[in-house]
Amino acid sequence: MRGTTDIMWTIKFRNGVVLRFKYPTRTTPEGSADPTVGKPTPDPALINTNQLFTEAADGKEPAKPEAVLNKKYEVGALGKTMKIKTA
Amino acid sequence: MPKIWHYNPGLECAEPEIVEKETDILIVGGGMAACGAAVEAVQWAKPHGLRIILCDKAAMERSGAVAMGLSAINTYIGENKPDDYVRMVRCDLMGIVREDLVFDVGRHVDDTVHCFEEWGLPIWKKDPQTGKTLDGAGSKG
Repeated sequence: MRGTTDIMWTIKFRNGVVLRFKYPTRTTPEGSADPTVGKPTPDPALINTNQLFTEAADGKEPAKPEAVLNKKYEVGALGKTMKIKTA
Repeated sequence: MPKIWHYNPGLECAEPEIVEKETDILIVGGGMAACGAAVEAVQWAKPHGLRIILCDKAAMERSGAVAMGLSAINTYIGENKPDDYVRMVRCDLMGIVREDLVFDVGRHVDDTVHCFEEWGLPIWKKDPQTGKTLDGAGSKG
């Protein structure tokens, strides 16, 4: 059974135990979500700063990688060789 | 417009009405990613006169965006660093990843999750006092 804020169901076991479940599907009334999350329209000058509009509004700078991982493992360095079978 | 179908003539779903629209930004699909892109596009581009169309093959109310089966958010960085997230994904996918893209997801995802919570998605949290998991409605506020 589904309402606008909850979903409910019942499990009836053969031994007579009845369990009822009710879980919220949302915490705000339907139709009340504000797509701007109360943030102002972003400054177009920030278009290339790699910020979401929410981050631009909060002045949150995108994180930068601490280190470049991208480590390449050579098959030879592991003492193995690769064989390719041909028909 | 010529017909785009060649089979099942007469069947309604095989003969869709063809509508031509002009747009500046076309977003194909109505799932999570597309809806997120649409929200951003409306904020950044619409005030400057750009037209945005999101098209979905079916009803948006039943698209992936509503995530009918969503019971967990798999990616939330919290106190971790996006670098940690890249390491986790790299390990999980046996190194076959684009680390720049994974990092980009990692550094922006929390803001998106906060939007979802604001909009009303119940997010289950642990009660700091009891250590018990609170359901979504109980944990808000």
